[in-house]
Amino acid sequence: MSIAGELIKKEYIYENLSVKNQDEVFEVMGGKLVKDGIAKESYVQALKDREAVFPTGLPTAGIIIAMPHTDSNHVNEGCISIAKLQNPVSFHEMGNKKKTLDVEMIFMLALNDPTMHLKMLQKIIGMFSDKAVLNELKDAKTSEEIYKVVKKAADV
Amino acid sequence: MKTIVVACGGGVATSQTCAVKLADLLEDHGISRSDFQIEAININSMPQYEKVADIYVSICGTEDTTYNLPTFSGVPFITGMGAEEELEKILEEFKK
Repeated sequence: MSIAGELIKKEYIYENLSVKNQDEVFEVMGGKLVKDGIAKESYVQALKDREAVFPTGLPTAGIIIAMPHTDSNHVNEGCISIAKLQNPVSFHEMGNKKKTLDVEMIFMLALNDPTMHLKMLQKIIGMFSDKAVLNELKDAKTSEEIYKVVKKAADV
Repeated sequence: MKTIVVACGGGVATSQTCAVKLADLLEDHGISRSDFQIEAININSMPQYEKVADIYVSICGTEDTTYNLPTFSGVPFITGMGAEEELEKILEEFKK
């Protein structure tokens, strides 16, 4: 199996996630990772703490993204959980806590060994400056379609 | 030779991606690979790098702590939005 295939699994992709705020994003998506043993109990709180200090909202040229993550000590296995949100949720912009973004899509990183996945992570983050891929993400309606777009863009 | 440090909260994914992108752009704009070195670091290591670096590219914001270095934003290199403008400012540093 490819590295992208190992990290991105369809059961952690949400095509139309209904959440009211940032905390719910962390609790629903992160909570599932904890429940399945991919992340440790401390993961959800660690996401909240990290986001408060180092916000992850990204104003891209296509779909507005946030990429919450934690240090690797809160994670058992590598996984990237992805969600398109039914209604945008507000996140602060990366590098600029004064600015708020209406985030439409989440890439939640759970990484136990980020150096191992560095190439792929760079490809994932590389998608955020690629207009064609961003538009494909915007158009993707089902978790299957989201999976295909990300896998194609991130495979190394 | 200019030393550029790119710092984020973890020192891995975001800062590395930004460093690779910035290095490519600098080369595309005629800066030779032997004229700079670029390192992705954890923001907590910044005090050590402050003395040796020439240029600081931040991905974690500069409103909390600032360093005594020419400072630029790394986020444009992640999103592509405003990357040209930020790159121009960094290129100016190479003329100094």
